[in-house]
Amino acid sequence: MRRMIGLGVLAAILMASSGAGSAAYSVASLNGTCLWDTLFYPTSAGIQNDAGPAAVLAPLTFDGAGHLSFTYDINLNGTFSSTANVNGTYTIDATGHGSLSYNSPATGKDLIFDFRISPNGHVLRTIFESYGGEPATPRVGAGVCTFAD
Amino acid sequence: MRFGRLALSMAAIAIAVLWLPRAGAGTGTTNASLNGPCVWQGLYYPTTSGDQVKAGPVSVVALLNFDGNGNMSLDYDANVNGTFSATPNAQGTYQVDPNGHGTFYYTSPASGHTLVFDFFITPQGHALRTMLRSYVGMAQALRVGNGICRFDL
Repeated sequence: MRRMIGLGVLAAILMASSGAGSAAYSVASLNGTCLWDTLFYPTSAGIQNDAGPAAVLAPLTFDGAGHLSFTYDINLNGTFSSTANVNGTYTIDATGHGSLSYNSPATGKDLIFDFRISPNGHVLRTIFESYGGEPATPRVGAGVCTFAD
Repeated sequence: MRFGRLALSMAAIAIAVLWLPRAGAGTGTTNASLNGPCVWQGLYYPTTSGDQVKAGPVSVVALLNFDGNGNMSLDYDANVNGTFSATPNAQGTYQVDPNGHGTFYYTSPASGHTLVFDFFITPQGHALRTMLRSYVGMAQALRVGNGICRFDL
């Protein structure tokens, strides 16, 4: 019996260390902070044609109930800025596919990012989905948000 | 049997310790939290306005060494818009705030520019995620890009 308890403790430690990993996902699967690193390239058509590249670094904190908060640093076509206290929301389906959204204090636009949780739950992989309801996003980008690194 | 339980307990403790944050990524980080070498890889794209419009992309791989006291050195190889070069023993400085967020600076011996990078320590402290922030004395960075510097792999 004690051996079983010991194995249970070991399994619990391993599961706790895996961040978001789970068979059936929900908003509760994302609870904690990951470091989001993403790079965007300008599109060749649309509302900000040839607007230049952008890079973002941001620790995202998920509350396990569909809300997130963060501060982000951005290099936007060569100009750096830092924006604090941004709030947003997120959804996730049972397969680990979801989206996060927030209103940009800089532009007033609602940004939406599509994501998938990695199989071990250590990472979110993101792409830019929507920008203020425009027909096209101004940039295309891919990012990674790491919980366990 | 007792030895078996003891071994299992020790294994559990060892695993728990291994998963603890290393460089203090969450809170309470200082310059002393960065001490030792990491391998840095970054990719940078040119801006569409500014001092070097469409200057071409750059990739860098480098060994960074932090001394735990705000100083760093780096040996870096770069491909600047198709031309490779290797630069040993460049010197720089860095600072880390209590939230695992920081900056480092170094002066390129080739160009004379001092580059400033923004970074965050990852949650477990295994790596730095970096982003080119600015060039000292210039209104705008010449390129936009990010990178990762790994302490463990």
